[in-house]
Formats: sequence, structure tokens, C-alpha cells
Amino acid sequence: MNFSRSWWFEPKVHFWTSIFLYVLRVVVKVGVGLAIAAPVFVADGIHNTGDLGVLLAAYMVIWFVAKKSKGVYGADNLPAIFQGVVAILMGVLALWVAKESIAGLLNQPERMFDASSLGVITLATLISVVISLGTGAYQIRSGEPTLVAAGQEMKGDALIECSILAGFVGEYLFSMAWIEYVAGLCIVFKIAQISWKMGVETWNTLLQVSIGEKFEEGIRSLVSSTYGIGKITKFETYPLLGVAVRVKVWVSTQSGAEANEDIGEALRERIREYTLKEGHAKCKPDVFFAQPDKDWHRVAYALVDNAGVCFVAPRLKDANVLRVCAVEHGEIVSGEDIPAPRGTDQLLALIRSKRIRIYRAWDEENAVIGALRISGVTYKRTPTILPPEG
Amino acid sequence: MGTNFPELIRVVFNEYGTHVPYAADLAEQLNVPLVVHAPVQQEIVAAAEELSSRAPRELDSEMIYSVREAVRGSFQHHEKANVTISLTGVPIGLRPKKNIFVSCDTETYRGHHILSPGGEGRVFRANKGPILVPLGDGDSSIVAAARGIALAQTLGTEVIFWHTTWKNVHEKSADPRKHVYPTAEAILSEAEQMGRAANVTREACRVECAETVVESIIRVALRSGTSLVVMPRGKRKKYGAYADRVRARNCPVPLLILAREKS
Repeated sequence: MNFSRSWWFEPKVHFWTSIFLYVLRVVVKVGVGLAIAAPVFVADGIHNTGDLGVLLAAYMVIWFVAKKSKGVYGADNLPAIFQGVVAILMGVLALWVAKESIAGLLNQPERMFDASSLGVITLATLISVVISLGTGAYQIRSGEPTLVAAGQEMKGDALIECSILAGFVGEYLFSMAWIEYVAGLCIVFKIAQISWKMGVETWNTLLQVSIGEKFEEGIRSLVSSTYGIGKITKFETYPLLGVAVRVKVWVSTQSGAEANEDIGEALRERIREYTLKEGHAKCKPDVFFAQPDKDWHRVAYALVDNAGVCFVAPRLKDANVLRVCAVEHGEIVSGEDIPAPRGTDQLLALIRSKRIRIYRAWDEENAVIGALRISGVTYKRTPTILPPEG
Repeated sequence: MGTNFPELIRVVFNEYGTHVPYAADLAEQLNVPLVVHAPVQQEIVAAAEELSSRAPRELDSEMIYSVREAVRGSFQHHEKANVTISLTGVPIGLRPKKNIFVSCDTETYRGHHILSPGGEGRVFRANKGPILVPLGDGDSSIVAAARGIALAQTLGTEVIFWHTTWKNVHEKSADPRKHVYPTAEAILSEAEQMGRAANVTREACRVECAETVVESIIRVALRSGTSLVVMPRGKRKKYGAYADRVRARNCPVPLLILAREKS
């Protein structure tokens, strides 16, 4: 977290100051709204409760990223659960405000605003606007992406507050109480929108829903263009509460542990850069190295060992040695010399017992090749008479 | 030094590994001949003569044909494959100035410019990644820069220069370039000028105060999507030379180690 500028940006000071200002805004609005029986003011206070929830969730994300609780492996889900609860709560309260506003519209009370009531409302609104703008700027200056997003939302609230004040001034000037209830319904719509968005974010985070095909395709081509990567064996991308993204990639390489360390570090960095370019504020990339595929096979070479001078035998009947090699990922990793079998039947028995898939000689007879084919073994002519290393 | 580098690619025939496909692709991309060595000793040919019912020359021709066919399969345009098959080994003591030998054996053939493909079967992956030339403070860096530039021009890609320096305690600036020592700065500037003149360099040399040199070279190469790292062999012995240590760490990016050139 980039809180290095002054004492006001110390993590604890920033947290408690923000919480105090958010709570103060809710208390002012709900308190004044209830005192003068103005549902629109109460509704806006409820809407701000949602903002408070989002702020707490943002702090929880920061806190859990910084301090992983020992033995708790699903800590990343906690802010999402918290946000989900806030979304449900906001939805229920929005329903209540909607009911009150509709009832008010259908049965408009005879209520006249006096100048002092308007004065209280104006003062409360101005306090709210100052808190919204000031706290918004304070969050943005922290530099922490999740708080920056919350700060921008906070600054947007100032506009709603000014609209509400305009509604009350209209009600005072033209004695039309319905303006307040219509404004109340507008805010209910706004609250419903926010709680829906929060609910969808929660759902996507908890169910680890993919960020999208285009994003995944970008990551996929980035990973496969990285040198040293063999194959992508598994792939996951999902959101961590809106702005942050989790990318998990399982890859296979043919490199050793040291090279894998370098590949992993570089790949995480490249994924992070790509994610930021795609407009996500943060990314938690994980690279896992899968075991390479069992891409091995056993190859038998018919050889002639002529007093130490060894070469590939033209035919099985000329061979005195059969070299059985294990080929793994394009390399001969082991070789075993056994006396060459006498005749095709012996060769086929040996091929079964040694699980040989390819038989090689320089110029084998068709009868042997045919018998091998029936047994499911491929015959491949060697390009040279040079024997494989044993 | 000229831009006609390399004039020839060499590789030892191996049916299973990635060296032959990489060498074929490199030769095709650079439009230079490929010499494939399939070292079959004459005593083996003589011993096989009787059993194969062929004269030694006939046997040789058959082997050359088989290897050529196998190698041609690695070219994208088989008809354009300019391949020569040699049944002799790669000469160890020879110092072929403009040949590149594709091999992982960077020790036995120290006199050659050795390109270790690091498990890659093609020169480029998804796109034409740049060539990375790590620069030091010696003249061999200028040779490496010239070779890297020549390759980039032919391959149609760019060159990235990279240098790491110790922090100069008397320098307050956070910009690593300000910490570069004068001898190295002269090399960096010259390399940058060469790159710009050849139109293959768009950015200034990347300078870091890296904690470790070998790991940083590999990681910079991987992060920037580099397709080839070009390094001089340097003056130091095996365990002190950075190029050897980059290779020993199984650098996943193809690495060209330039042989020392006698002045």
C-alpha cells in the first residue's frame, strides 16, 4: 500500500478516518431523514451503508493479502461473502424504501416544509457533499487500487446528494410533496443497481467464473509464446472482487528446476503486465509446473557387434545384439544390450516382454516387417548405420 | 565485421532431439546452407560392407540420401532446402569465423560459435521476438552487438541491449544509467549507435542494478519475449564466464555463444 506521504496516510489512520467519515455520512442522512420523515434521505443513507460495506470489503482484501491467516486457505473468499451479505441487506432495505415511497405517492400527506426544516436538510446535505468529495479524494490519493475505485464511487455520490437537495428545494418552493417520493424511487433504482452489481461480483468471485474468452485467449497466447513452455495443461482466470484478477496456469516444460524458476518468475511478470494493460487494477498470477506427459517409447535396434566395431545390422538374421532404448522427450535416456533373437517368433516374444513399439534395422526383410506390423510394432529404417548410444 | 553473418549453419544429425529442426529452421530463415554431420567412421562402413552387399561408396550414398530426406522434413519449404550431408564429424580445432554450430555441447567445440537451442525446435514462437545482447565493459561486447545486429537484420527482428551495473555510492540518482561506469558507458553508447544505424534498435540500452547477472539475463530474455540471446565467450575461464553460466543454468531461450576472435 502506498501510504508514504504523511501521517494521514498511515494504514491505521487512513482506515479509521475513512470509516469515521463514512459512518458520519450515514448517521447524518438517516438521522435527519427519520427526524423529518423524509424517506428519500433515509434511502440515500441506506445507499451509503452499501458504500461502507464496499469499503470494509476493500480493506479486508488488502488485509488478507498482507497477512494470510495461518491454516486458513480460503481467506480470499471472505470479502466476497461479506459483500454478498451487504448486497442482500441493501436489496431488502431498498424494498422497504420503495414500499414507503409508493405509499407516500398514493396517499400524499399534507406536509409543508418550513424554512428551518429546509435549512437543516441543506446543512445535512452540504455536510454529506463535503464528506463525499473529501473522502473520495482521500481514498484516491492513497494509491491503493481497491480504495481508488471506492473513492471514485464516493465522489459520484456527491452528485446524487445535490439532486436530492434540488428535490427538497422544489418541494419547498412549489409545495409538491410527490417530488420527494419520486426522488425516493429514483434512489431505490440506484440502490437496486448497486446491490445487483455487488451480488454479481460476489457470485463471480465465489464461483470463480472466468474473466472472459478474449482475456483468456490473450493469456493463453502470452504463455505459449514464452520460451521454455511445452504445453498449457490447465488454465483458470477469475475475479477477486471486481478489479483484481486471479490467473492460474499449469504448464509443462522440459527444463530443470532452475530454468523452471526463471520461467515461472518471467511468466508471472508477463501475466501481471498483460492484466494491467487490460484494465484490471491488480493481478495474482500463479504458475504451476505440471509433470511432463508420459511421452516415452521403447525402440529396439538390430546391431552387429564385430569385435567392438558396432553398426546397425541390415537384417535381423545378421544381428548378434538387440539394443533396447527408452526414448523420452526426444532423447535416448537408457539402453540395454541383449543377444539378438533367432528368428521372427523369438523377436515377437521379446518385443512383447520388453514393450517395444518401434523396431529399427538398416534394410529389413519384408517377412519380418509384415509380422511386426501384425503385432502392432512399427518398422523404421535407420538413416545411417551408426548405432545409438547405449 | 560485415552483415553476412552467418554464412553457414552446422548441426550433428540426431533423429530424436530438437537440434536438427532448429538448425533447419535457422538456415531457412537466414537463407544460408545447412551442413549436417552424420559421423560414420570408415571402419564401420568397411565392416558393414560385406553384410549389406554394397560397396562402401554405395552405402555412403544411401546414408547421405536417407539423412538428407530426414533433414528436409524439418524445412517449411522442402524444395528450397539447401542441405549438405557430411559423414564426418565436426572439426573440433577449426575456428570457422562465420559458421554457427547448433549444439548443446558448448565445451568441446569452444572454437565455434555455438548456438544452444534450449529445447526449441523453431527460431521464432508466436511472433518475431527480439534478439537480446547483454553488454559488458569489454570489446567482446561490441563484437556480440555487431553479430546480434547482423542476425536481426537478416531475420527481420529487433535488438535489445541490456547491461547491469554496480550502484555508484557517489551517485544520488535512481536512474541506473547514471551509475554506469565510463568504460561500460562507452560500450553502451557505441552499441546503441550501431543498432540505430542498422535500424534494428528502437530503445536505449536497458540498464539495471541487478542482484545477480546470470539469472537476470535469463529473466530479461524471458520477460521480453526474446527469441535469441547473443553473448561473447569472454576472456574468463569456464566457471567465471557469464555465457557458460547462462548455458549451465539451462537457459530456456536459445543462446548463441560467440567464440573468441583473435585480434
